[in-house]
Amino acid sequence: MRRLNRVAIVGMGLINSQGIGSNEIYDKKNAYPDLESYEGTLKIGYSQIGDIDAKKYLPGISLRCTDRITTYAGIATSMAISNYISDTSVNTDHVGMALGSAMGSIVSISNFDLQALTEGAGSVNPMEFPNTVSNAPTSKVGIWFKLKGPSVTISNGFTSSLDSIGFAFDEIAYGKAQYYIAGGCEEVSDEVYKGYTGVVLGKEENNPGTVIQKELIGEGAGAVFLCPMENAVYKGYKIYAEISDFFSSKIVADKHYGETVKSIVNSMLDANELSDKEIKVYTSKLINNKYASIIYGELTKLFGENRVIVNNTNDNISMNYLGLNGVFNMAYAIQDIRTDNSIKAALICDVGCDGRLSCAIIKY
Amino acid sequence: MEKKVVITGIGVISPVGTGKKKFWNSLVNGVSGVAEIKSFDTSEFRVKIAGEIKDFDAEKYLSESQISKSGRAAQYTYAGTKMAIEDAGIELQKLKDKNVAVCMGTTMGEVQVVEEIDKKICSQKEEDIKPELYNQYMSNNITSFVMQELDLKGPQYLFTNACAAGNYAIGYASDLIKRGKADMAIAGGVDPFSRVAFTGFHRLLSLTPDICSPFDKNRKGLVVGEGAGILILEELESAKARGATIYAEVKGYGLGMDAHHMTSPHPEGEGAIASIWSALKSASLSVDEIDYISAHGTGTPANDKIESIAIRKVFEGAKKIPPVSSIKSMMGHAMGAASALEAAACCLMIQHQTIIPTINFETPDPDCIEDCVPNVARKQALNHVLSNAFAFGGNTSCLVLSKC
Repeated sequence: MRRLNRVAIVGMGLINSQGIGSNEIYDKKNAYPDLESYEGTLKIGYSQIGDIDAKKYLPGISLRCTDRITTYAGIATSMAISNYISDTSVNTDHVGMALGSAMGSIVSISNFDLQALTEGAGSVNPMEFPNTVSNAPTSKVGIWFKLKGPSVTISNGFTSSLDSIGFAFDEIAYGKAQYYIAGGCEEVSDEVYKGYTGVVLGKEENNPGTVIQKELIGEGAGAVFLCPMENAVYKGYKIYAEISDFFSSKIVADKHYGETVKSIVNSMLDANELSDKEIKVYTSKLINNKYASIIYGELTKLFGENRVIVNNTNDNISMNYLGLNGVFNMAYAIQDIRTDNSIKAALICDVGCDGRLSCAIIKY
Repeated sequence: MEKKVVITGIGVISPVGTGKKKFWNSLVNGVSGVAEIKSFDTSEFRVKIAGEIKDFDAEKYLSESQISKSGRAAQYTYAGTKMAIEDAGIELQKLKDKNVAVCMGTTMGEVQVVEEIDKKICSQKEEDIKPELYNQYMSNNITSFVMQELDLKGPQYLFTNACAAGNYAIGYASDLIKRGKADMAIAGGVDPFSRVAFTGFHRLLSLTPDICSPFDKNRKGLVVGEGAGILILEELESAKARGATIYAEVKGYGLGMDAHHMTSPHPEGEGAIASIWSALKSASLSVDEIDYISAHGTGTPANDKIESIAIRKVFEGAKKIPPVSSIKSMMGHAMGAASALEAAACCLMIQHQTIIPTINFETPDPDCIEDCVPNVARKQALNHVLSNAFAFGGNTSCLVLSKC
């Protein structure tokens, strides 16, 4: 079975702990975020998005009993499709949605459960129960925007948003879908913070030392609007970039890990007729993830340090947007390749705590 | 030519029995797995029944260290996977040389872990929360655990599409094989019994206090259940080459979306209709070729009525509406595991050429489909079957399984 369609990115929407909108987020990508809570001994904290006027981005939509993660997903989607929702030729019956999340609805599950445990099972608001299912953000946003294509939610840990974009890319590329909104959403809280620290610090082998001094986890949402390149060109849509390839797999977690990464990246470059000099690489140099460190090392060997970009990081601190790193890195890459003529394409690399590798190639 | 993907292994953990044989024997004989809830105190609830698993012994499938580092959902998945691999007659060592996808579906993932943590918080024993518990917190541990413990490599997806998630996982796993991204796949759905799910459905007044009787005029609601259904998928040629038992071909699938309401189905069944049509189209089958439909059939007044509307609409021009039954009448609603367990049941129905009944059926409902295979299993030629699964948020799906 071969891919039939080229796939274009024709819309983009972002919101995170550092800003709202792709321009603001790009400009602040290495800014120091405000901390809601910080646990010095663990060198990890979390940063929530402050008060936002959600109605500004979601006019006419009732946000009653809507949790933060869904609100963020709605805002990102609204931005990603704002140019097209008025285009009557985009039939929302054929717009699918694929969002990923590492933590999903954990915050809503826990809030709902704690309410039942402390105040009694009869005290919980039944309208808040749907927030406890992990597909709530994708589904609610689909309902708000009347999107009747497939509604897909993927919980693939730290590669969730990139894998969701890859899923949507393949659905369009293989001719199974026409339009997809794809990306991810995350909400952080005490529960998520403790869960995250449990995940990364509980496993000694994932704690290789200080690659960077401190790490924060952040929240938000990111969405890209995808369609076949042919449609985008024919309809005169603004084309941000083309996604030309996607790979996602658990790879051998042994001493050959680095070599396997190298071989996968090289075969993707070959398949896309790209040389290492024409490409910049976007990845996340996550503290406490040995695979991220190995991948960063291999990528710098392959492309040179100047061509491997790690965003959301300054000298002191690194933001980890959990399942959102992929979509944010893709957004930064899109901004870079649109403005820097020396870059022909970008490789977005994401890595899971379990050694899973996800890669996408985008071209302008 | 497109590759054909077939199912060659089944692993089941369910309220009506653990293991393929027990599962089939219970379902074909109309044995109910619904009983009084044992896992928590129900004194503050009006409803006191559920489809809990009674015979699962984790130690039979997992080592002590594996048990200590995994949540209930991961344990069910791992145990189901081992059963399915054994049933498929595949040596574990040989799997390691292949590109094996692990695609699972779930509603709330490791919800029991969250519930355990919440209980400690409420009893002000937060300091007693073991760090290992937080290691089990993220839903993707379900798939990662299987990959890691079996030392596999390949694509890995956890679909969190609520009660339709199993169908999403099985359908996408078949695509991964067709697209050459995986040689084989371990695919299915899982959900452990959840206090949160029970409380939520209880507050939505969706639960029946006594029996689950899908399509019956006096049906009162659903029963919360749990379980895991795991299937081994591979290319037809590979199955033939190793002389494997082939249960069924994954002929196609369709996904849809109501875009209507978070908890109520679209009044005209739009999403359900879209997913059934899409499944038929992807399988290149006409309505007249369908021999049976495994219903979503939760037993709630709204679901069964809307599902019937959708089936009637799709089969409007057909010679007849095929028989439709719901195994939820016996097992309750296993949430993210439901559609995978139903897919497993469809495989066995095709193998035995026998339709599993809808039990607890007494009074026909004019708003519902006529033939729900009431109370007694039926021998019938089954070449092509549909398996519906719908979910919160209006996510709809339909899987087509065919005799091979």
